[in-house]
Amino acid sequence: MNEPTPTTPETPPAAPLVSVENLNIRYGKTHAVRGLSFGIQRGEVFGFIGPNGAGKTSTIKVLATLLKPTTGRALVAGLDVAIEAHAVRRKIGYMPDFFGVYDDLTASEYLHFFAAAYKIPSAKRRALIGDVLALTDLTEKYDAPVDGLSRGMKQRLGLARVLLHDPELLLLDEPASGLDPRARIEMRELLKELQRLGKTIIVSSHILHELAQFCSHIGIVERGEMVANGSLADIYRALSLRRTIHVQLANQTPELAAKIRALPHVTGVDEQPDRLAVQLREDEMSAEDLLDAIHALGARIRMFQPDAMDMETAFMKLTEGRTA
Amino acid sequence: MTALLRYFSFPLLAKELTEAAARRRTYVLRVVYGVLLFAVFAMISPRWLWRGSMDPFSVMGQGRWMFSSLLALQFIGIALFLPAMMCGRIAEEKERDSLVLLFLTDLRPWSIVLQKYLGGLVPMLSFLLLAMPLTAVAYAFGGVTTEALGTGLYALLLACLQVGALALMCSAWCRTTVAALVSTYLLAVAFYLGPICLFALFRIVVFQNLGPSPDDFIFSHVPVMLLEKSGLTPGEVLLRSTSVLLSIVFFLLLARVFLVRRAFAPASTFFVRQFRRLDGVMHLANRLTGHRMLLREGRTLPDDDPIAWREMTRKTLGKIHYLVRILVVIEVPIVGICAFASVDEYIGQSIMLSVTAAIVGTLAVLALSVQAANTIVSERVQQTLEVLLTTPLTAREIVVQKARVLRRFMFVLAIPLLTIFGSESCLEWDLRARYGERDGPVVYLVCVLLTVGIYLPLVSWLSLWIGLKMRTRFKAILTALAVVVAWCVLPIVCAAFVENLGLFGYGFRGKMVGVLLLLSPLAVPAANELSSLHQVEGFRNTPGIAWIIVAGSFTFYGALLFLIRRRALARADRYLRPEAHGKREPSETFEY
Repeated sequence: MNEPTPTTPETPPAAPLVSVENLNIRYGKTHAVRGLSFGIQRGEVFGFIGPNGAGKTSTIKVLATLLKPTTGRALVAGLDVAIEAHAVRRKIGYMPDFFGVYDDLTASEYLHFFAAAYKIPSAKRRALIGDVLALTDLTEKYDAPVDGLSRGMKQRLGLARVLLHDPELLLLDEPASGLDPRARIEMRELLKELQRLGKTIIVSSHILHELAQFCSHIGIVERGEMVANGSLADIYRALSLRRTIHVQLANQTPELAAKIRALPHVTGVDEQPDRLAVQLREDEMSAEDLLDAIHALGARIRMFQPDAMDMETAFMKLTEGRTA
Repeated sequence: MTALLRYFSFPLLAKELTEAAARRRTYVLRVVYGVLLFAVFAMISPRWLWRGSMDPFSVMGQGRWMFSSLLALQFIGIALFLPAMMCGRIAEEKERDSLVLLFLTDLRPWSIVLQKYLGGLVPMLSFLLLAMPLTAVAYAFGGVTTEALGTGLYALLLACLQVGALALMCSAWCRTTVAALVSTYLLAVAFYLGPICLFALFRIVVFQNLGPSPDDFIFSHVPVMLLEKSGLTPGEVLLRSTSVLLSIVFFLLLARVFLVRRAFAPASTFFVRQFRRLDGVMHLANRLTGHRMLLREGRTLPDDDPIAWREMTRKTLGKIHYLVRILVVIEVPIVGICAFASVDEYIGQSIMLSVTAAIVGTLAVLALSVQAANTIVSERVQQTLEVLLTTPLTAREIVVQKARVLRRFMFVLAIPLLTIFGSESCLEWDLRARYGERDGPVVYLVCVLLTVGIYLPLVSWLSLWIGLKMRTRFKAILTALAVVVAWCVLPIVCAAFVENLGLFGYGFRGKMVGVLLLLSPLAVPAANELSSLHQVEGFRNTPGIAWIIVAGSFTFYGALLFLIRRRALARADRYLRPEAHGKREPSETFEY
């Protein structure tokens, strides 16, 4: 009898920590989220970007068990947020875009309050609170009234709160909203630290270039639909397909512009007073080849500048500023 | 010309009216007002209106009576609806931090006050117009002179202006709409009833109830008094309304002053400040007594009940030593009254205790209702509820912990009531035995104990339940108070109508009236105080009826308490996280 040949077991792809499938949310006649689907692996930092009213907060609220999807489903660590809400709450830390304060508590009492709410054993609380305060750089505010803290400190205290029960997933809705530049930088550094600690984070923000600095994945939503989803590099590459290249010619004439327009993989040339804006299919022809081709046409090139593709450009390219 | 037009453009009034027109609440309230007015008018109209068997000539001249009833209904409507409609006019601007924006425009303070005033009056006047068809009906029946019609409408207008000005003044003084609403009702009671009560007291104390009869002058600030004398010329009516007009001007003047002076006043923490000041005194006194404390506050940090811990250690109405101070403030005068009443066994002393019990009981119920309705809503308003709901705490646990704190407050309110009832029991024990009352003293004692033991938790849970469903403090408190008051009053009003209209056969009508009366939570305690449980309409000759009524009534209310509590706890998650159960907020075009 032949023994079955042992085969090397293939490592199955790790299940995503967050899985959103065909999510739809309606508020009366308003269709806030339309068929949103995405997955987030453990340890990823997912930046959720979109104009106001795009459906970011609604999606985050679904994951925070505060909102029931109209259709579709969302899973956190394999648990359906609509069905196993109680179990999901132990795995998430949710920080809303506002900071509801208990004016009458000190920073440590505030954290003790939530430690009790998270049912953390009393014996562990003091040390734990010391740790999260140290992590958020608020140790010296241990006995300070919450009401007297600056907005930035309150946000950091909010972050300390969501870390108390060591959740697998952090849901941060506009954590940098309304903060001054210093507080924003501090918040960004804190998020980077959490990223280093291996936390999975979903963060929504309007401060796009800040997200670009630490988000491993980006989801851009508009009118409730995902218009781009992937790593930053993927999105840039996708958007670069029609890169605009600004060319300034010393001998610019309409004939020369027409010749450039006729070049293969050039989709259009916009004649501006001091330059030509050339639209290039970059996946089929590189910017360097275009430079050679224009030079071969006899052009004397004074400036050749491919448009920079940053986060804000990507956002502006992908969205039209409309809401659901 | 353009400048003149700009002067009369009233942009704030236009904005107020546009907002009111866009609110569904405006139309809902108008329909409610209209339905109530027409329904009550139909109920109180004489029975011949629908029987039609009587001589049609006999109804001639009955219009005057109908018109008087209509005016009375309108006055009640103004007293109930207008404060709620007016008290948010300026306070809401403060809550939204938009008052400063108004100050930055060309609008002068007087202009703001008057435009806000008109903005609140116009919807109320539109409510009053609903009575036009009924007025026409009354006029058609005859008996309403043109002078009476004019005086009546003038009195209604004055009532609107006066109550509106009073509410606007409170709105300008208070930091929040809720505070403005509560102070408007309290001030209105003091303003309208205060002089009457003082006069009655003066008459009893000085003239042993035999002195001069109420003089018009004392109550001339009440617009209704204009209707007391008929056949007055327009000039005389105007003269008699001088004090009303002066009071309106006075209230508006104060509103103008408060608008500016209290525009940026912080939220009132008067009691908290007084308590903290007292803390300092107590701390000093403790030094003298070697820091011996009779009552120690609970834990400094929470165990497993963070919400109850915070409410009990940080809230004025949760801290044990603050509650004890409140209790002392209430209890000391009550003990004094009880001691005074027990000096003599005169039957009037028992009445005095009954009146004290009624006043303290009413205030206790109102305070408890406001506190209970506010307890969950305050978490919503502070935006802390959403965060709490993402913790492993269940909605049921949140409600249970909140209710535990309310229980403390309830005990504080129950002790003065029990003190009064205890003293009264001692008096009643002798009186009822002496006069051979059929409602024995034991019935009395059991009834008052059950009243305190069941009614206070019932009010607390009912208001808490209402507060669970509401999103704003104003709505929660107003609805809770409205439900409690309506529940107490409506069955009595219905019983009165059934009796007055002579509906049903005589025997059945009596029973019907009795049952309707028993549906009001006021009925049994009131009958118990008057020693007339055995005289309840329709059941007079039933043996042991007092015990049956007490047992039946409190079993009913006990069961109701159980059901409301169970419902509130079972559906807590649904109420606190409606969106997580598929219930969506109304779309943004409707402000609710």
